[in-house]
Amino acid sequence: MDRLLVKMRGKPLGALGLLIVILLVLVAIFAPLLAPYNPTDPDFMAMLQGPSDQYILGTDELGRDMLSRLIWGARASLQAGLIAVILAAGIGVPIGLISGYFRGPLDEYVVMRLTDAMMAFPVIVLALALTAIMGPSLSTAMVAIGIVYAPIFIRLARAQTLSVRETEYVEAARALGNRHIGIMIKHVLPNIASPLIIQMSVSMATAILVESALSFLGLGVQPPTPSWGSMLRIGTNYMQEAPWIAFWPGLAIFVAVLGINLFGDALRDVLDPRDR
Amino acid sequence: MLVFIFRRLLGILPILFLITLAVFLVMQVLPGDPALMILGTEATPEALAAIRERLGLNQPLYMQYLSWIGNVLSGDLGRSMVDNSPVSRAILYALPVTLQISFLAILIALVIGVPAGVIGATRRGGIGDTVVSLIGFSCISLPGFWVAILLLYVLSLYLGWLPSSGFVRLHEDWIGSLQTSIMPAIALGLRPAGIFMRLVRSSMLEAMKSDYVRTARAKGITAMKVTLRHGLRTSLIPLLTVLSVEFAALLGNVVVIDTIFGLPGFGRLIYNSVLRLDLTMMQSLVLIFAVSVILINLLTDVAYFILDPRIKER
Repeated sequence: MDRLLVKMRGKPLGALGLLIVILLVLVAIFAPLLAPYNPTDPDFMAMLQGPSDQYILGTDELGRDMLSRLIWGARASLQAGLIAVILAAGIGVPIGLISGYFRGPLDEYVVMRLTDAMMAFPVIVLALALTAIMGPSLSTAMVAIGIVYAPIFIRLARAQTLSVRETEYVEAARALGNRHIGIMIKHVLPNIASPLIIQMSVSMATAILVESALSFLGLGVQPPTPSWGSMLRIGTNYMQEAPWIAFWPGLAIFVAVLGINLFGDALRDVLDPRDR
Repeated sequence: MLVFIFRRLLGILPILFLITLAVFLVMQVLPGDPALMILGTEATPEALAAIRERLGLNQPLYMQYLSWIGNVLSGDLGRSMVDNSPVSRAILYALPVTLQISFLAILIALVIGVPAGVIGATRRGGIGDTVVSLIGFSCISLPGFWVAILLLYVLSLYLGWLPSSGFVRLHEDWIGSLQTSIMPAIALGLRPAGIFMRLVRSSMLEAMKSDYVRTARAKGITAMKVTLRHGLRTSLIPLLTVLSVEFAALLGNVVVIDTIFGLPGFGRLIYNSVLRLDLTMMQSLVLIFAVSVILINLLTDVAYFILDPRIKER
């Protein structure tokens, strides 16, 4: 962590990313304390109000406070991104690790070709089909994104394992008669962790984008739970009279994703100096 | 050259077979009975049996697969399970819309992304580089549907310059066509623009470190010439790879963009067929996606072959 901070010093963009990510996490954790109003409480006396002293960012079509909904929305988005990526890595890394460690025809013809086929399809289309089949909700959106992103982690973990398995320390461990499973966990996994962590940060940024797109299409978070994507969806109906409804959630998605991307790039510089 | 293309085409056949098989099998395990979907839960058993007979749902699986493939090869993609209209007609109607907007989006992405990447690489570490990096990351992080909504608000609702929805076809009125496709294309093109920017920057930095660039410099060729002739040219090959990947991703993002701009494109077709569980439509769309991705990859390979003579047929 110290090393991280020292390296961040010369990188204004990385520092900006770190700041955004920290703020985002704090907002998501302390949402109940930070939000001035109940995000799902309608106020029919204050529908579609512009920004004012009472409602800093205005209200939506049911008179709900935009700021409170945005703050709670951070929770849904971060949660979706985090769980989707953990799921993707949880499925992908073991398969990639085992496949790359043992190799053989199963690896070459089944695992590789399957990931090839899955990666040929646009992420949104696959996620859309999965959520439509499983029924729209936040958890199915997270599972769908997790499944769709798993091949990326299979490929990455496999490629990294292929290079590590030929190293002397793995050979030594094998010569000492360690069991395969032990070698994989104790010797291979720690040495392929850096690129996987970097990939997780990159994937988390796009996972948040995909989740918000699904919610925007009505296939993610369901009302009245606030989420940035579904708030934007509502906003498109009130473009003339209340453009702020669509503006704020989009800005929130943009800033959150930008922060994670910048942070991920700085992380790459710190963890993987070979790249530069 | 021709031999190379022919070999690649041959290599595609087994992949196509696998994909069609996978598509077919996935469609079989989907929950939901198409016959019930069409007639509703009130339908009599006789009516259900009749519609299963008509759709061929009571035949053994391999027969269903073979007859589907046979029909596809003869150009018949079947009929929509929802409104019984021919799938091929719906696809032919939607395809030009999506192709026009996607090509325009990629064009915009290249026009913005490549020069910006060159600027970033030549001013490495300076303020110009930081600004280009920030713009690049911003492009990657912008949600396309938000950009679309902002454009709609400013250019259509506020200024009234462009129509807010609908699509005019190119052969009807090309100016009107451009007006209806420019906003969707920008919304789709920003993300690839950011990706191209970062890619051109990093691969140019890589190339500038190489021996041949140092030699060129030593020969007294101006920095500008070296940058463009040697630096940029080397970055074209990775750019091509990413271009094909981004083009495929673009085909997915049209789902959201079509909804916002009310475009009669591929995205709307996908969205509607998924919502209504229109199996024949989904099946054909997935197949067309797969074929276009494979074709794009083939084109990329051919372009590699032309750009870099060192890549010989493997």
